Amino acid sequence: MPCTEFEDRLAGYDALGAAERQRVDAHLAHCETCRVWLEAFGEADAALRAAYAGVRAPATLAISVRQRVSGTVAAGETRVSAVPEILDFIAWTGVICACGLLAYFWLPRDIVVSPVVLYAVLGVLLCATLSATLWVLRGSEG
Amino acid sequence: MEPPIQAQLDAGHLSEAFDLVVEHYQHRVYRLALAILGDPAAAQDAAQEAFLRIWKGLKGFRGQSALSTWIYAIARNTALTERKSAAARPTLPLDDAPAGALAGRVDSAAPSRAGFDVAALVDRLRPQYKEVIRLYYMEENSYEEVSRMLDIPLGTVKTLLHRARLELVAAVAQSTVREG
Repeated sequence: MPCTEFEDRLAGYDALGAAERQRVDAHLAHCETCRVWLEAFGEADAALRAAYAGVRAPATLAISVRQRVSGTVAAGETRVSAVPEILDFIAWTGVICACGLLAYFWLPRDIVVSPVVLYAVLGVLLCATLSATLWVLRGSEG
Repeated sequence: MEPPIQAQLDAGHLSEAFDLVVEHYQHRVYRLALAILGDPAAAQDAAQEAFLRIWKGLKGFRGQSALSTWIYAIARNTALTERKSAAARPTLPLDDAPAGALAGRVDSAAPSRAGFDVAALVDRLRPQYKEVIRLYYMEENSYEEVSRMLDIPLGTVKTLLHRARLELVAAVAQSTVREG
């Protein structure tokens, strides 16, 4: 190994400032081990440059990126999320059921003839909500 | 470089802005992925995935940071995620790898002048050293660019690079002694 004090300086010899380099050179003049290490750093540097310099993305990268992006755009244009409409439907169903229950318990018995009538009314309202939701959904797709 | 992209974004021309992003950053995003993953095919997949994420996020990009910083962060995170999932996948022992499976690795492109396989030795360094050393040489010896791309301070880049070189040269010396 090179002298501990000079390890980092030898590894980054090319980037040293003038004063620092002068100090290292003075050390190198009488240290054979560090001279060998500096030479080895130079060889490694050249090998690394040869291995990695000039790396460029393959030409197919940009093409495949554009293809994938246009795929998502096309998918995004045709697919409409049904989640909001379904949530709407559930919420309105809940509101109607709550109104029905309130009517059943609060209204005088002579108005609410029987639970069968009440459920029939609720059923009609549910069908109406479902139809309206589907109509809105189809409208947003168009 | 970035102003035309920003101008397209400001005008709401997302596709045009994205085209400029791909044109301008494809090589750097690829090199960043390659520095982290070390394998060209995996780097290309990661770069593709990163650009897809960039596309999805471009509409919401408000310029809180520089565009390049944002792009590098996405590319880095995508490559790191890929590295994590690759590490979790069962690997094929090298002896059983089909012929050509290792072709296209960076090392096969340039046998070193000194007669040692430098990229194979880099592969054996610890991850932080590998990333810095590969990126430094791929980015034409720019400490600043490496610092920006990996989002680490300039001083840390220099320290990591020096340590990496030191370990690398020690490994070369060791392999030379073993062969001799």
